[in-house]
Amino acid sequence: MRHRILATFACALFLFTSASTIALRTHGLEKAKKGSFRIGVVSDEERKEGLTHLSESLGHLGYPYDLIQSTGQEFEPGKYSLLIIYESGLRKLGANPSPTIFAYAKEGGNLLWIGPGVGQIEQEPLARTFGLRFISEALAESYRAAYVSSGSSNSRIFRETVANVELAGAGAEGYFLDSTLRRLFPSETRFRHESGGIAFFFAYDVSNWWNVDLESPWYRPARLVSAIRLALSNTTIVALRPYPRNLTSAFICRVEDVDPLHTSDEWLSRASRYLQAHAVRNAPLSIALIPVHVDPMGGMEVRLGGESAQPVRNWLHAVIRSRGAIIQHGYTHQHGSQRTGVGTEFLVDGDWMSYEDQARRISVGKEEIERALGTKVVAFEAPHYKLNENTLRAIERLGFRYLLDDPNSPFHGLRFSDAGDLSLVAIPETLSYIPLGSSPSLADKLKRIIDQLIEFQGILLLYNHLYDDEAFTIGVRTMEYALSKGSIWTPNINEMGRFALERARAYRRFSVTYDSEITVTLGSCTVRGLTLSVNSQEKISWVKVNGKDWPVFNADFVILPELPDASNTVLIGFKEQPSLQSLSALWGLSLLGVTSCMAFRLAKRTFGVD
Amino acid sequence: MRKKEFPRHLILCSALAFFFSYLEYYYVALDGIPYREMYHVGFLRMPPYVLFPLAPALAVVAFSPLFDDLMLRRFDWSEKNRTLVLACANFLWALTLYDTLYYAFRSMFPLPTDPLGGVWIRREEASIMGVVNLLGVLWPTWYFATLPIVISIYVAYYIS
Repeated sequence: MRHRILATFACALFLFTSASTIALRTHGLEKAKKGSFRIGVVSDEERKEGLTHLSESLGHLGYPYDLIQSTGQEFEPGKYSLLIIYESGLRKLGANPSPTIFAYAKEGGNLLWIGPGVGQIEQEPLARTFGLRFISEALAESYRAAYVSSGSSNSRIFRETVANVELAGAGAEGYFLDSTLRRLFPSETRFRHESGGIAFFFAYDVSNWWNVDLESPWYRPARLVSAIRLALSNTTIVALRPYPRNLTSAFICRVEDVDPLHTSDEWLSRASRYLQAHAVRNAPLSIALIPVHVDPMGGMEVRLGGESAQPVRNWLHAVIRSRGAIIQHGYTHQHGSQRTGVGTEFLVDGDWMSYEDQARRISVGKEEIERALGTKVVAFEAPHYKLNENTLRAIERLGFRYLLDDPNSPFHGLRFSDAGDLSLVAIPETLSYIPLGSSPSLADKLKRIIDQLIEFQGILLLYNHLYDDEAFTIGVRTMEYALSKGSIWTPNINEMGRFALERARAYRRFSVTYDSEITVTLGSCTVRGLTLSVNSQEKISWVKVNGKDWPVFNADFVILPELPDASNTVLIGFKEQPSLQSLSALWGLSLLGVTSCMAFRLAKRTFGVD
Repeated sequence: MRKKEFPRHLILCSALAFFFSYLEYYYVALDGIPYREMYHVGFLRMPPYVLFPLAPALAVVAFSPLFDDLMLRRFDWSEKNRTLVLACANFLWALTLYDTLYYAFRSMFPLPTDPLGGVWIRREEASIMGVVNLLGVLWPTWYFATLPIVISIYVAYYIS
């Protein structure tokens, strides 16, 4: 009798709490202000280097942006959280751009001005929007400007036009310096206008002249990224992080110009130790491999598949076993009577080789590597980075997906096929190489560049020929320093390329809208680990991917699964959602009661207890 | 199963559950993220390796006394029923412990690369039965079904 009463009570509780949980689901969420996060770039349509760099920066940071295109297009500044303006795009803001810019700022919009041309804005709107007064504009040398400086770092100014402005309420974030490092006038300013929006101003073209100052090659992208972040600091930002699993940067070491003649005991011993040093830190090597070594003067030709190349093949197999990857580095890395490694391959005495010849050489080289090592090669690096449109067409046709290049940018470059599909990812080298006979001070310089790159999540790619023991030591120390920064991804070149390609596919449909939740739309992605970072006052409380609950998130980021659809929706919520999935304690206790009563009675019967 | 054999099997099942959850959390990971966190497909939203081989392996150990009985040709049906019920209890216990320990490892001794390191079970990770919020802590609902069964059987067996 006692059991029956208990069981009835437990059942009643169970039914009551189920009904109340269902009722909870009908409670709506508080409605919030609607909006979207998007950046607008006001520039000339012509793809100049600066605009390409800016586009790559925005793509790398994972911000959705529009290049505001033709003058016929209706321009809606209100839909952008930030407008980045170049002088060349001013005509898109109408015959007189000053009122448009001022109206946008008055609405609380954020602005970033890049380079000269600010004199075209009338003085009063300029003062009220950017907190500046325009004085003049001319070549940097006419002002004796030799450097640009911000914080503790500085970089060279080249033969470029700069604007001379006076502060009228704005704060200076950087200055032009003369050759004696004396301050001249502001090079960067920041102004918060009455409506709360932020206006950042560069008096020089920060999106140009990248990787030209060899002492501080990535100063300009670092400043550009910092300014974009500052200008957006008052906005809720959702960004598609450049690396998987919320990692902050990626380190790759490429061993350069390895060919079938790399069989000396000295080099192989150094290479084996180098491999070991990287393998124990789970940092794979990527090898730029020349499949055939030739010396036409000496009548020598050594192929990777040949018997004499067995020692280097053994090392390459060890590299592959340690998660390493092979990059095809031309076919012979020479032309004419030169020895392998000396000259370019596709550019012969100032003339480019024909498409057919390039395709044939690359194809034969690819077959040689794949036959000798039994591995597929999908990454290519042109000898001395000398390649033209024919080279790109040839490698696309031969199935290469990743290109190692020196594009003066610390970000991935993307190439699209005629059909508009992503066909190639260009992976830049950012840390340069370790020359023969380097001094240990090179390691310090590399550390400074690593620090600069990590500031804006740039790629850390070092290449090393392993010429001597000093190159070995500098290479290992650089790798250790990079990894000591924490949260560094250590992929091989294929892993990095594949992730970049898939991320770029997802990014092509990237859009962000706000309501009571944040809705993110992304294209398809076959790799796991894409990360959305959310810069919001509130902590993420729940996430749904394509309508299904998804658990891998933290307070300010979400790590995504594979995204199978052409268009995928990620819903990010900040307030706990009433749901059947999270049941009350009463429900659990009543389930506990019902199960206990039933199970104990059955168990007692089984064990013959009265 | 003789009474003196029971604790031995219970310890064996618990040890295996501990080993499997340790193995899963620290070693079944893809790019540093535990597999269980990234995959939510399959039967009852369980990772495929739980269905095979982990659960069958736990079952083999839990039901080994029954197999003993069968191989030793003990034909006492009443004894066999008792052994079967105890084996079921051990199996359910091992499964529950295995699952709990996974989240215990994650919340107390997390992998440095685990984005959910330090976090107890999340609502979204639960099986299709959901979770119960008990004193502010989420517990998979199925624990509330398995644990009373296991404890009831052990108590009944103890007092028999």
